[in-house]
Amino acid sequence: MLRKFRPFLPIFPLKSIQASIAVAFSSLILLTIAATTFFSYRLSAGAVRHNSENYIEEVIKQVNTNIQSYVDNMENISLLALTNKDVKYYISSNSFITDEERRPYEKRISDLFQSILYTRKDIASIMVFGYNGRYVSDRRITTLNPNAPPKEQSWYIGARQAGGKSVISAPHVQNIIKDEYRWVVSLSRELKNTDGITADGIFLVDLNLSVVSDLLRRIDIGKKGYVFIVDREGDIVYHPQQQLIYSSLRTERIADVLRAPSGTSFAVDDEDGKRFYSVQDTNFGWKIVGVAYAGDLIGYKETLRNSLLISLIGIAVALLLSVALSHRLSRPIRNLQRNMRLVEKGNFEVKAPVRQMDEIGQLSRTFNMMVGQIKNLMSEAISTQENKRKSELALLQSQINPHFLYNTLDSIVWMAEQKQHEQVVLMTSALARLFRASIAKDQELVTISVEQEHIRSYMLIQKMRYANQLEYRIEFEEGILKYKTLKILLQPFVENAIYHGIRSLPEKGTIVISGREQDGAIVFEVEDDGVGMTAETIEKIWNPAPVEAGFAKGIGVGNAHERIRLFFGPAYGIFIKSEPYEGTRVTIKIPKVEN
Amino acid sequence: MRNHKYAWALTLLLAAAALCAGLYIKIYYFAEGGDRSVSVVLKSSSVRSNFWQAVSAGAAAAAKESGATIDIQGPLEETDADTQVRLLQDALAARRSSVVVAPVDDPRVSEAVQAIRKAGIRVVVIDMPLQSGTAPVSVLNDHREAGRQAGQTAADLTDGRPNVAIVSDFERSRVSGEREAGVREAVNGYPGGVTEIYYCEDSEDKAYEIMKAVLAMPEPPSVVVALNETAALGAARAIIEAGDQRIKLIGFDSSVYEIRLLEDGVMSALIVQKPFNMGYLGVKAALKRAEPRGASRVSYTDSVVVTKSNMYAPENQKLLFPFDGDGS
Repeated sequence: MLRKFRPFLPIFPLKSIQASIAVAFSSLILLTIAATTFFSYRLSAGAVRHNSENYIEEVIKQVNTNIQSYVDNMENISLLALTNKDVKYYISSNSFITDEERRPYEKRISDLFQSILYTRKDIASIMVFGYNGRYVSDRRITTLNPNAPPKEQSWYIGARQAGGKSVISAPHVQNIIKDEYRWVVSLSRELKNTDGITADGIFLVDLNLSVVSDLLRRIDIGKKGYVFIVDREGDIVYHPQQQLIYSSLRTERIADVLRAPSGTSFAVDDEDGKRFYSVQDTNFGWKIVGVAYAGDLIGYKETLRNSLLISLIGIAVALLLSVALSHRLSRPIRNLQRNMRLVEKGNFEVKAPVRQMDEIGQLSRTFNMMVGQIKNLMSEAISTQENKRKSELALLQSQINPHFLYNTLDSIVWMAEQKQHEQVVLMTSALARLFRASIAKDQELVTISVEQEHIRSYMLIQKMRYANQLEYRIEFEEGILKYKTLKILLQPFVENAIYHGIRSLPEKGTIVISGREQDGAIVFEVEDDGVGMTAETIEKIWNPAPVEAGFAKGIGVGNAHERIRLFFGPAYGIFIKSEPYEGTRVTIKIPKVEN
Repeated sequence: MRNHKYAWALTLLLAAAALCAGLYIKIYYFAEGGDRSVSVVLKSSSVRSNFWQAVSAGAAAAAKESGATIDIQGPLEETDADTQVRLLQDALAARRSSVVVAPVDDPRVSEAVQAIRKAGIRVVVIDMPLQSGTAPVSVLNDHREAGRQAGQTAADLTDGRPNVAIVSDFERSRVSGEREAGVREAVNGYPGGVTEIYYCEDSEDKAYEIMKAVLAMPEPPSVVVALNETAALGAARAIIEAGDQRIKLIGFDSSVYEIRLLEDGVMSALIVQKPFNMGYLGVKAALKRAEPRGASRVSYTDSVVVTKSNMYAPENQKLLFPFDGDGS
């Protein structure tokens, strides 16, 4: 069977809450910044566009004003000629001036034109052509270009058709004067006779094109922006790349320009880039068009740079913030997690700090309660266990070895048969003391003097039984007798010393039972010079093999040791030192327990 | 699993945001076209050369349009190979992003250009191809086509029966050779054809002598094609002197003198190139990063036939009468 493909399987599952929070924050902040940047960019781009449109419009208006002023100036010059009597008489069709008299007129007109030319550097030439064939220019001697008769020139024809109104030509090469080819803009106008109806000739004033082109070139519309001029028909009057347009290497948006009303602008976005066209009409038929490239405008760049910078800084801050915040937020969780690990290792003393009663705080509190409860349950379990063992031990110790009793009673019977009355009395009273000491059930602890009395009675009985084999000494320091010890602590060890150490010895053995204070503790010693034990035997004593049923050998060393430790703590207990054929010394250490 | 989906979506979002930021930077830095710069080394930087001034203007216009910085230089003399080689070496040292060169006909110039190409700089050759070596991207004057136009004009002027004599400058000149080939190509389709070729060795006086001799012929050719300005001016002088305008004169290039002759009717037609366009297209090609697949590496600028009747047409005025104060 095919395994089912799980959709949206994460590349890296986010395992920590911190990472999840960090990612969430980062995404949120990034999105916010992206949106903000986008909208602010859109807004500022709009503002920049608006400003730049205004700016271009202003510039184009300025250009318009300037060109208009040049044209107005030419117009004024033409008016001057129009109203000049000399000009009128000179070109009048029914002129009274004969050819012989015309020289002074010619000179006066030429002087007038010349004086105008002196004051106006932008004017290239001023001329008058009468329909009577006479003409005057601003020069003393005017030689017309034989190949370019004025009548055939477009400015001449245009002026005749306009009938008294001035006509502005497109920039062209003025070639009517011999050997002169100058780029000019011409204003031509038909001159009326004094009667105001019939016409006498054509007046021409030429403006240096360089004036216009300098003006247009000085305009700064960004790095790539430029200004061009078209006439009413959409023919290009001036364009910085006129040749390219003629060669069809470049197209200009002339149709759009013609459609646009004066003072408006429109945007174009094609393969040449996004740009704004701003159109302004002049009152003599030209349309001045400013073109600005969007990417070119200074404000545009600044806006872009700033918003980019700000958003980059924002992103950096956002990432840092999200990491910091997620760290801060997940810290209590991590603390709790650490505490839980400690508990896992078994330390129930842990307490999670509860700082705030938020979800984590409540969790911590519950955790603390839980740990506390576990701790209580554990200690309860331990004490129950301890009590159980103690009661078991108490039961054990209360049992008197029946063999010992039989043997002792046998001894007493035997002594009685022998009529050793004193001995019988001694032994019976010792047995009675022994029983009294061990029967004091109500308390676990007895004074060392009671224990001493107990062990003395016990040894008395044993000495009577093994008179030939056993010697003993009991040496307790006087000072320790007032302290307390566990009941019947020493008897099992003395019993061991006799049965395992001395009894199998061929000659007499000696047992020394001592008690003293040492380093702030009580130390008992049971020492014999019996057969001793090997290391393996000692090991066996500590960890006896499972006892066979019905063969209880009393309280083992291990049990006694455990009993001491349970009662007094791990610092106390039993230590055995033994050498084969040398003897055994059992040291029992308990604390000083005051009455 | 829901949590994982959530984390996954967030991761995606994060990646998208990073991508957007990256794109943003990319768009911002590359929309401006980088800091492209172009070095133009012309054959001549003389202000009296209308042709090269127009090339220069065209180059500047293209650079402005593309927002690139431009540096235009050239020797004063059109034959100064030493200076041009030095200028090319300077251009290499300046590490411009591209170089446009109108090479002087000299093997050292070719070597200098190849050295620039080897350095990984984009090179565009304009005007004439390199004398040797593999051809880089070129925007050339189509002299052969100009010659063809002259031949065709000759045929038109003689009602399809051209009998053409050619006045060239040097036999080994590549420009004149191309033009001559073009003339022959066009005229050979008609009865008559090319009868004779003369070399004036770039001397106006010699051209004058040649023309005088031609005029003195018992059966002179109907059309004389002068392959350059010097030849045209010398020939025109002889025609004016003789007062005999039966022979049509066709010239190349444009100068005030030639224009005057055209206006006077001594010269019947001028074949005029478009240097502005050449400069413009050269720099445009140089600023391109690479040729589109399958595009021709060599392109040509055309030329126009200017006669007395169309010389003042707006488009021809700009070609014939360069305007100093103007971009074009």
